[in-house]
Amino acid sequence: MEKKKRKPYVVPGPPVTSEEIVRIFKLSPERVARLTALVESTPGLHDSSAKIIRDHKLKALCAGS
Amino acid sequence: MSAPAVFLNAPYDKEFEPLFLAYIVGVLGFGLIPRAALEIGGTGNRIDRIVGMIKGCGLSIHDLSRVELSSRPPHLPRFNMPFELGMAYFYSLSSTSHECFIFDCDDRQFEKSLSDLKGVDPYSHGSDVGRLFSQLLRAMTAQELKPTSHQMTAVYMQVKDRLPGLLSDSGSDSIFHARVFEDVVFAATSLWTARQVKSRSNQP
Repeated sequence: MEKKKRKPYVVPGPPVTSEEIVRIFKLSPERVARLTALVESTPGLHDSSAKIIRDHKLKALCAGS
Repeated sequence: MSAPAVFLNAPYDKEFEPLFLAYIVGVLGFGLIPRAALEIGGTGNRIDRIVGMIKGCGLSIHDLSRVELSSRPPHLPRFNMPFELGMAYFYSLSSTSHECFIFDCDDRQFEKSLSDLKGVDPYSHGSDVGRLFSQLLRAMTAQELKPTSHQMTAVYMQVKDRLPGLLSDSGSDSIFHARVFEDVVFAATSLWTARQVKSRSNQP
C-alpha cells in the first residue's frame, strides 16, 4: 500500500519569544534572572549573543511583571 | 497573534531524555512553543486537562518509538502515547487547526504496533538526535525562520551543556519535571533568539 505523503506543515504566526514563555509558564523575575545568568555563561557563546540574551531578559522581566 | 504551540507526546524515561531535549530544541527552532502533559500535575482530572492542552495546540508530535513492555515487572505495555495519539488524531479530523505528526524509531515497528494507521507515513528517527532534526525539517517549515539541522545541533549542544545547572537549580535529576521542562524551554528560546537577532542584523 502506498503511504500517504504529506506536504510540510507551514508554521503560521510569528516565532515564540522569551516574553511569551515567561507568560505561559508564569516564570518569576528571580527565576528569569537566574536562568538568563546561566544561559549567558554558556561556554563558547559569543559576547554579542550574550548581550542579546541580556537585552531580552529585560523584555521578559517586563512581560512577567 | 501568538506563536502556535506543539503538544509533545513522548515517553518519559531516562533513555529518551536526549531525544526529548532534541524535540524541545527542534520545535523552538521553528518558532513553535513546546507543551507536554508533564506540565499537568497528577491531581484533578488529568485526562480532561490533557485534552484541553491538545486542543490549545496547533499541532502535536507523537513519538511511538518506545511503545514497549516496561523493563521492570509487571511487564506491561505503555498505553499513554498511543492513547494520546488517538485523542489528538480524532480531534484533528474535526478541526482544521490541528495537525498530527507521528514519529517512530523505524517504519516496521510502527506498522506492527499500530496497523490501524497503515497508509500514514511516520517520521523515523532511528533514536538518533541528528536524524530527528532532519525529520523535523522534513515535517515542517516556517515562514519567518529557516532553521538548519546544523543550527539545531548547535543549540542542542548548548542546552545540553547547561542542563546540569538547570537540574541542580530545580533539585531534580530528570528533564521530565515541569519546572525543568519550563527552564529548558526558556533557555533554548533565549539561545534561538540570540541566533535569530544576529542573523537578522547580518542581512543586507
